This record gives sequence, C-alpha cells and structure tokens, in this order.
Amino acid sequence: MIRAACVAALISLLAAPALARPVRASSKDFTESVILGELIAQVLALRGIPAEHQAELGGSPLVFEALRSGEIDAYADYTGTLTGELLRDAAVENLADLRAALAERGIGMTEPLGFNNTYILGVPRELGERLGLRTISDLRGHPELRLGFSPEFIDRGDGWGPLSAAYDLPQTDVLGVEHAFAYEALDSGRIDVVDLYSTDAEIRAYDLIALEDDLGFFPRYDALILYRLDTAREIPGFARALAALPGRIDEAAMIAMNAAVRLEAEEEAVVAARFLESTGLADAGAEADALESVETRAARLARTAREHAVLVGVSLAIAILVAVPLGVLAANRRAVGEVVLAAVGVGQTIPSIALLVLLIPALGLGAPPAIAALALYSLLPIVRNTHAGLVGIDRGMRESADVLGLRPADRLLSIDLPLAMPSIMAGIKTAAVINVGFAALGGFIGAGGFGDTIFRGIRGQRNDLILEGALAAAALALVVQGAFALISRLLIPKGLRLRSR
Amino acid sequence: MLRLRGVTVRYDRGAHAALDDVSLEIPEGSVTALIGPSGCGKSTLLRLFVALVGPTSGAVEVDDQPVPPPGDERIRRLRRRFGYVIQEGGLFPHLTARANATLQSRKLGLGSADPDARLDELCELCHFDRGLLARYPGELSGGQRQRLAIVRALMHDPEFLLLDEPLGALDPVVRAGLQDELRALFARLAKTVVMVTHDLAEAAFFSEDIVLLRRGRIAQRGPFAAMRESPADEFVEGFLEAQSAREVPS
Repeated sequence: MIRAACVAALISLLAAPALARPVRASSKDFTESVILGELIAQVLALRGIPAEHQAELGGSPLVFEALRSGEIDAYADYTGTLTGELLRDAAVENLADLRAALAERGIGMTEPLGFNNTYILGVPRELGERLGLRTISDLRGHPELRLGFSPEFIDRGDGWGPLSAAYDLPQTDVLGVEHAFAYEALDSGRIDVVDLYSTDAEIRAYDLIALEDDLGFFPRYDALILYRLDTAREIPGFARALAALPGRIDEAAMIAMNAAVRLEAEEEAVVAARFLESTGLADAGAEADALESVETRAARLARTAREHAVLVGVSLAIAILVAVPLGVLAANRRAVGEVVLAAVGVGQTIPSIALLVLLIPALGLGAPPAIAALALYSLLPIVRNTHAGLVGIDRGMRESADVLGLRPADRLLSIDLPLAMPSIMAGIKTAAVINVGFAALGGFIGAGGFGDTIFRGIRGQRNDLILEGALAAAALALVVQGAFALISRLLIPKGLRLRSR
Repeated sequence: MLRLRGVTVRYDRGAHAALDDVSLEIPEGSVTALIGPSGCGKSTLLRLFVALVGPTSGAVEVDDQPVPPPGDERIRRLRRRFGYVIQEGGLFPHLTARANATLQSRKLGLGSADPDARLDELCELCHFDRGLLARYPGELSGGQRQRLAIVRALMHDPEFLLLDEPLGALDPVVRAGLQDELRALFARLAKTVVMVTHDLAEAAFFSEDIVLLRRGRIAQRGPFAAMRESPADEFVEGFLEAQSAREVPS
C-alpha cells in the first residue's frame, strides 16, 4: 500500500516537469510569423494543451536554433527557407526528404498550411511603368536602381547573392533595410526596389508592381509548422492539435490577416482568434474573448515599466557588486588597474545587439541575457569612477589616513570609500541612466520592458506604440535621475557636501 | 629615540637627493624643530619615521628598531606609536569632529579605556570647544581645525608627536595664540616632539634644539642663540638674516 503510494508520488514527480510548463509557441520578427505563432498557441489551447506565445524571437536562424535546442516547442516556417537556408547542407528534393532531414535534428513538421509566401521583388507602380519593368530580368537594363533588401535576404542562400548571379543583375547599390521599414523607405523614394513577401498586405495598399520571377529562381515557400519531436512524445495530442491547421489557410486568408494587423492595427491574437472562429476550429465568441484579454494601454505600461525596472535594477545591482571591488583593486594595484580599465573599456565597445545575441547560447532568451549585457555595459562608468574617486583623494588626506595605522578593511570602509563616494555615485548614476536606454534593446530578444512596446510598434508600423515605449523610457530615465539625487543625499557623507570654509 | 644613520632619499630617480647622507638623533622627551627653506628636505625627514617615504640608502630607527619599508605589514603597528599633524590638519571631511578624533581608538581599541573622558580631557587641554564636536571640519575655522587635529593626534596617547607646519595655514593672530598654547602643551605632555616649520622665530620659540637643513643636508644644529652667535657658514648666516629682516623692526 505504502509502496504503491510512493510509486505514484514518484511518477507524478517525474511527470510534473513535462506537464507543469506551458508549451511555448514562438515566431520570427515579422507580422505573418507572429500571427501564425498566435494560431499555434490558440489551437493548442483549444485542444486543452496550455500554451504561450513567445513572439518575435528573431530571424530565421535564431528561431530555428531555439527550436532545436528546446528553448521553444513550435513555430511556423517556410519550405524554401528550410531548403535554401536553414538546411542548405542537406540534399532535399521533396517534402519526404525534408521531413527526414528535420527528423534527424529532432524536429517534426506538419503538412503545408495552404499558402505559398514567396519572395518577390517590388517596385512602385509609377516607376515600374515609366521604366517598363514587369519581370526581374527587366532590372538588368537599369543598373542605377537603388535596392533596399532586408539583411536576412541579403545574406540568405536563396537571397540576393545567388539571385543577382542567376539573373546577371548589374546593381551594386544595396542597402540593408528591415522588412518592417521597407514600405516606408520605398514610399519616401529613398530606394527603388525592395524584397517583399507575396502575402504582404501592403503590396496592394502601396500600389506596387510585383516583378515576375521569370527564371523561376525562388523555390516554393509553403508555410508549415515545425515542432519538437520530444514535445510531441511527451504531450499526448500535441501533434494532433497542430494537424488542425494545415490546409486551412489559403493565400487570400493569410493576406487578409496580415492586412488586419498591418493596415488596421488589430492585435495578432484577435486576428488569429477571428480566423479560428471563422473556420469552426474555435467556438463563436473566441474573437470577443481575445479582444477582452487584449492588454489595455495602462496595463501594458504597468507591466513594461515593471519589467524595465527589473532589467535596469538587477543589472545595476550586479554591476555595482562587481565594479566597485574592481575599481578598488584597480586603484590599489597600478598594473592590475590598467588591465582592468582596459578590459572594461573593451567590453563597452562590443555592439549591444551583437552582445545580446552572443549571450543567448549561454543564458537563453528573455531577461537573463539582457541583464547580463546591461551589467557588462554598466561596469565601465562604475569601475572608472570608483578608481578615479579613490586615486583622486589628496595626498594630505591619504597620508593622514596612512599614519593612523588602520587595518586595510577599516581604512577602506571608514575613509577611502566615503571620500570617493561622490565620484562612485556619479558613476552609478551614469550607468543607471544609460541602462534605462539600453534596456529598450532587450525588446529584441524578448526581455520585455519598454523595448517590447517599441519593437511591436516598429514591426506593426504603429507610431503610437513606438512613442509610448520611447516616452516611457525617457520618463523612467528622469525618475532614475531624481531617485539618485535622493540616494546621493543619503550615501554621500554630509561633511563632503559642505563647502570648506 | 628617533635616529637616522646616513640616510639618503631620492624621489623618482631624481638627480638631486631630498636628503643626502643625513645622520641625526632625536632624544626622548625633547622638542626638536626642523627648519630650512622650501625643498630642503625637512618634511621628508619627518615622513621617514612613519614610513610615508622610505630611505634610498641608510637606516631609519625608532628606539633602535629599524622602521619597516613603506608597504610592509608591520608598519601599521609602528605608526600607532605616533601622532601626526599636517598643515591643513588632514582631517577627514566626511567625519564629524568627534568621529575624526575617535576614529583610530574606535577601530583599533587604542588609548584610554574611556575614550569619551579622554576626548573631554584633550579638548580642555587643546582649548577645543566641546560644543563643536558634532560639526564637520568644513564647519570649523582654521584654528579650530588645527586644535582638533592635535586632539586627534593625541587621542591614543602616542609616544611621538610629529607636526608638519601645524600652524602654517593660520592667520598671524590665531597663530600667535596657538603658539603659546602649544608650547604649554608640549611642556605638560613631555613627549618626544618633532616639528617642521619654515619660520625661525617659531622654531626658536618652541625649541632649544633647532636643526637647520639646506638641500638635504644639516647645515647647523643647536639652540637659536648658538646659531646667531656662531653661524656655521654663509648659508646659515644668510638664513638668519633673511628671517630676522622679516620681523617687524622695533
């Protein structure tokens, strides 16, 4: 009897981790992918499998890698992206080959969802008609055209390099433009040709000509859902739930959903719920429920402010704990000091985006890598100001302290650090204010905070969201400034704030 | 007893020596004045005893024991036997007058068993108004600061009191008053006192044992009267003349 109970307890313990965490659907950093990520999460939830959506993880390689490493459980990708880019080394002729190649990597795939979202090159109608552009081959005669392609397209195995070789295109003026900005850049006349997705709603809205791929360069980009085979084994009904979507989303449906988000500024979750309701997968009222659960601006501000404050506060606390001792060390040992100051200086020069992405393999996604990056950036001002504050103590003061014959720890805590405190606090304040701004980049890797709002605004071309995030970050910076004025009054000894008579 | 044996000090591989082969004994319980023009090495000489500088060659001894080189752990123990006052007092601006005076005894448990009583006693002795103990150095006048610096230097009842231009930053009236007080204080304390000054009258006022330095060497040593009677060389003569010329003619 007791043994049976123990066994049952053990089983439930073992099973708990698999059941306890919600399934993580995810998406790349463009609208269609986010809608598909929502669809995945909602369709799983409809079948009783708790799921959350970690939206806008990053570009194709990053999201694919996150799936492979188990960071996420499912997301939507495209056959052409898989064969032309992610599985470039595998010989894939057909869907069966693709399924096998993915299975080798622990990844399963559904049947195609029902639409082909191929790359196309687009030009403004007025320009295209003036130059008589109808096909990609027609570009050959116009080397002066300025091209604006997404960085991913420029680098991809099925992207600009092989395309220009296949068509023998003469243009060399290629600008990297994120897909989210491409239409505005085109509209403003800065560039002439952009890479587009054929299901983009803007092609019609901006009245563009889609140049025909007359040599048949681009493969098919049939959308389908990728998922971890491990997850499918652990969670009964998982693969079956996902199988509800394939074949149901045709090109027109996808364009309509993209249009709802991009042009009508609707929430992805609402658009996805409406689609599921319309196909009968969800009961009537799903859209209304989704609308209900869409965050209000006030709720979003409260959440992002909290997340932002955590990013800044935790990273700053870590930085202070590391940087102040480093500054003390640097001040006491000249040789060590030079090395330390040089090292934190170099740390400061690593581009923030690069650092964030480099930290993902070690720390995963979300807040931890963002906090680590912010802490690293905070080191320099704090180390340097601690060092400067200690080294700057005047000789008479230093020698008067020397002569007291205090123990080094007493000396440091009672005399040196208090005397250096104004400088140290100035360094911490600088780091904090810079951090408030830098933390917005955490939006890139799902760390939350105001950056989350800003990046959603950028992707959705919603200036109100961009403004909301930017103004909130600026306001927080002011609050931090004010807070430091107060903290300084507490931490900087009163005697140091007096002007010597 | 404080002693130098053939001490030379060079800063930063500099060409000229701050002190050049100086030998000197300062007997216990005496008041000695070190005097000389700027750069003569008088402050360096004082700083040798508390290892703020180390000799380039030669030996520095306190009670026949060599002073450890700067940076040596043992130096802390030695320094606690000294009281040290510099021109601006060397008071810590972030600590109140009371905290400045009692820092060392609080941290090291030195001196009297009852630091508060000791502090009261020294305030009395040095004419430091006890009502000012809660103030920060920035809220004290120059004279009050120097009095406090001396209180601090005496808190742990040191064997030796080293003063580097203790009255140098004060205006003449305050300075004259403090001179009187200090001389009385030295007489009462009966400690070994070494004072650096650039003012011959002050040196003569405090001490029968004046050490006149010139470019790192001892030009002459003795009481003021002896120096005036028989100056050792032209430099001493010139120094005495220059200094007396500064006095207001009577």
